[in-house]
Amino acid sequence: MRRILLFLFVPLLVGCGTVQQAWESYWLPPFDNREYTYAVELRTMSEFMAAQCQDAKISAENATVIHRKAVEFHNYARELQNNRDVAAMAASIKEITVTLPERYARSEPVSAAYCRSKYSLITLASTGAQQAMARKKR
Amino acid sequence: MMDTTLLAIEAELQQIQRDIAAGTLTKSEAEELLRDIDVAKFVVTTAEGLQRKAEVQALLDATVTLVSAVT
Repeated sequence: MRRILLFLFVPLLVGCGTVQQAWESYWLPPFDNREYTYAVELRTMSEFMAAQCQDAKISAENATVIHRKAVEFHNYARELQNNRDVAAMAASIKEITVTLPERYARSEPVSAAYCRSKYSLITLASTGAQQAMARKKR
Repeated sequence: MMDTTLLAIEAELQQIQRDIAAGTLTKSEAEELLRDIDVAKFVVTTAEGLQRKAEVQALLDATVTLVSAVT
């Protein structure tokens, strides 16, 4: 029996690169519908908001809405056990959104090019997070 | 899938550089967006790591099932 176990586990651990990676993989939390929904919402909202960048008034409102959603995502993910990767992705998305409402709160005008690129990067970051979470065990 | 996302981030970087050249972005906007590019790349790298862990977990589960069947 020991030989069978060694035969099965040793190549597996070598394939993992490190024992730590295997350990973290073993304790990886399963698919979390709420977490996934946050990523989908951020992706979808940013896609729609990018199309509204010509209107500064609407964009100023959108900036607050998307930042609030990113903060919610981070606050939700950060306290879950063994959830370091998702919490790190949520923190990074929040980092991208945090300057949006700050910039619209200033007196200087915000360019449409900045607005479009900002939402495009939020879309891409959320898409990456969504794709990874979709692979988790259900 | 992550490769496609990374390529899209690179395409966005090129768009930002075009906007800088065209003068449609202010200096501070451009600096902020260039920092955001790095943050977005970090998200995709982390996502790749998470995806790999999910694959290893599936492999571990399959191994445990196999061992249970053998014993």
